[in-house]
Amino acid sequence: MELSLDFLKTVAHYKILIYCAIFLMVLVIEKKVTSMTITMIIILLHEYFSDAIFDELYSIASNPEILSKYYWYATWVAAEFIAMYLIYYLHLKLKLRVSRVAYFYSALLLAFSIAQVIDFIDRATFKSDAFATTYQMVIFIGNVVAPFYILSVWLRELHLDRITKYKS
Amino acid sequence: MEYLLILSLVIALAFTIYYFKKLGQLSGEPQIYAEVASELQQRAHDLLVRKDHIEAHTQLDLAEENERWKNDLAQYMEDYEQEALARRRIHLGH
Repeated sequence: MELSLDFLKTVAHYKILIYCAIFLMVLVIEKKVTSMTITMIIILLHEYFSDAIFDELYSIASNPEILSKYYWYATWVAAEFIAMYLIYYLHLKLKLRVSRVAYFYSALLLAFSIAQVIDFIDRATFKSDAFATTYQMVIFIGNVVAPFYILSVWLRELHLDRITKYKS
Repeated sequence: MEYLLILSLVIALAFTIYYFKKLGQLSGEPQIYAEVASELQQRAHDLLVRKDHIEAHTQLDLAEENERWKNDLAQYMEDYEQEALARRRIHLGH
């Protein structure tokens, strides 16, 4: 099953809009620096960077040489590494406990990185394209499910917080 | 050439996994909290045993001991509440 490029780009745009909406809600409701606000800032940075660079990378990656394929995969892997490192670094420096949302998003980044590396190894050595569809589906499903899952986990944590609050 | 490219990607992936593991450590419950919880539980157990002891010896005059027990219970409840507040601050960032 092949997903068309236009469809993928439409999904990516809606995904960024949903993340923006979640970020605004987090800012309004949490009102201070928490693990959730940090994570949402990094998610938005990462998503906007991916969106901005997508077209250019895609035209480079259309060339059949292995080096242009490498640019495609290496850029994503590097971007995911930087996002992961920033989540870790900011939680460490601000002495925040890592929330479930932050942990989930970094697990998602890790899964994407693994899928990309496996697909690149396949392209560079066996050239079988056996993993190409799986790679596409992993990224697509991850991108579609992530915003809603993040929203639901955050709302559940908010609810838990509210029912354990002391009446003082 | 290809193998060099693959190697560089695998190294980047290894770094990603490394930081993911460190992030997991930041999300876990620290050892000290488990120890404090265990100590609080032990104290609650001791208080219950002492109450049993006081109630079993009604013929003796244990009013003073009973008073001391009540003070210890109040102290315990205070500590328990402080601990709960500290935990809530750390887990939920408040």
